[in-house]
Amino acid sequence: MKDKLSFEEALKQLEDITVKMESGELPLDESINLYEKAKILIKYCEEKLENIENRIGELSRDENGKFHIKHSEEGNEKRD
Amino acid sequence: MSDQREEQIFTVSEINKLVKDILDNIPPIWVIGEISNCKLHISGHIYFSLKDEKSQISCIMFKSYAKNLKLKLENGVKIKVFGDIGVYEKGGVYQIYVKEIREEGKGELQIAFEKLKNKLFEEGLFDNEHKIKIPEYPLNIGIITAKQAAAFKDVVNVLTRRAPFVKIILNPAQVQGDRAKQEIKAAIEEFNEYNNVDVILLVRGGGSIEDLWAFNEEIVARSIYDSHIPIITGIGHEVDFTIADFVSDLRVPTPSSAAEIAIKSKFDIESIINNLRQRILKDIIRNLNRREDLIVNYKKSYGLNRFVDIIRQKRVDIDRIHLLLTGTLLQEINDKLKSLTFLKKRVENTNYRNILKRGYIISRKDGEIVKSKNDINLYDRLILEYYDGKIRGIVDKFIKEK
Repeated sequence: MKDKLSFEEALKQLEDITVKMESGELPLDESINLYEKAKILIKYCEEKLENIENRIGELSRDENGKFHIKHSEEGNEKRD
Repeated sequence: MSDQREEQIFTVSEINKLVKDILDNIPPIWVIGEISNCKLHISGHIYFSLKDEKSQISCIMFKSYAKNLKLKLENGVKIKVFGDIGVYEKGGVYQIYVKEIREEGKGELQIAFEKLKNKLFEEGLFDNEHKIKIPEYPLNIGIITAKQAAAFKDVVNVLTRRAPFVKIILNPAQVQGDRAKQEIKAAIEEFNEYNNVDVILLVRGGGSIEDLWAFNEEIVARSIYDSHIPIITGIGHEVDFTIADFVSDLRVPTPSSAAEIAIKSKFDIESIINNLRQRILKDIIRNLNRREDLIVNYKKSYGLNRFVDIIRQKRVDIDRIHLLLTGTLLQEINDKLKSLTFLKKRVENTNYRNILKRGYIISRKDGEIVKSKNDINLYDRLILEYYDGKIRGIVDKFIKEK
């Protein structure tokens, strides 16, 4: 899930869950399932917020037309 | 009529004051013309005239404005001045109090700007329906500007401070000069091909209209329009509008505000998450409480309590049975005790017969054992019991003790 889900989608899902839970009479186990899911989403979002690795990079292209992100601070190169 | 005219005679001061009041109502304006008779006064003020083929007007630029002037004023050069028209009452002359001077040529650019703006507007490039929604929480921010540009540093500074979690990917492009339009176009296309940024910030710091001109080029406008990644423009200062701004998905006043407005801060997002977390927690607690209430109600219900009642009844039954059981037992013990006493008596009976064997007798009168001679009268009938049988006798004499 983590790799595919965007931050935007995660927050959207979290909002949906909240609205669904607040809408009222969910069975308890469904409510608890949603709560567990929400916990994972919150953790995921908070991890994203804490992530400050490779913050600034520069887009460049090699002779084969492949894109690279150059991280000037670390001086290393990561293939995307 | 002639009388009225005579009454309307002004002094020189008065007429100059009147003219001044009228001219003061003209808002600040741009005036175009050639410089002539330019003099830099010792005070720092600049005096010159603006002229065209038919006419001329005096201009003064005070030191406070003149000190910011980068342009070299030479007679014959075509310029555009911005300022208020006012009257110098002492000399009875009116002039332009100049605040800003720009080189001419901009007029042509302005015309080109308007022409392209109208054309693209007609084509619908500025229509809201073509605007792509800016993601609310972009994580990967593409930036197009010059690598050494102050605008890039501004954006990086703002993002580092407010949203250190975002990834900033610069695709450098000249934002000024002949190559700028091609490089900007290429950078937009590359980001679209790379397809790994959520939003593109196309930014450049302030400058003259020539400096910003690349953003008024048609190919830049069209590549912004063609981008499927939303583009935010922050070009120049608040007052500057470029064609790129009209066609972009969101226009913000300055480069740093692109980062401030378009990207939610860490604090903002954390508040949003916390709010959701609290709402979810509140709900789960509410749900659990509801279940607890249900359980309490079940506990109180007749259905469940009937069983509790039955158990209570049974317990009473058990107690009664218990009592009953112990009662019977007591009875039995009593019975046993009784028969024990009976046995004991029999044992005792057996014992006194042994005594009789030794020669003793028991005398009875009317069935009662006689224990004293005083209980006996003369001629009483007595039963005498020996160990082996009984006899009857009559008392015929009391014998005196020796």
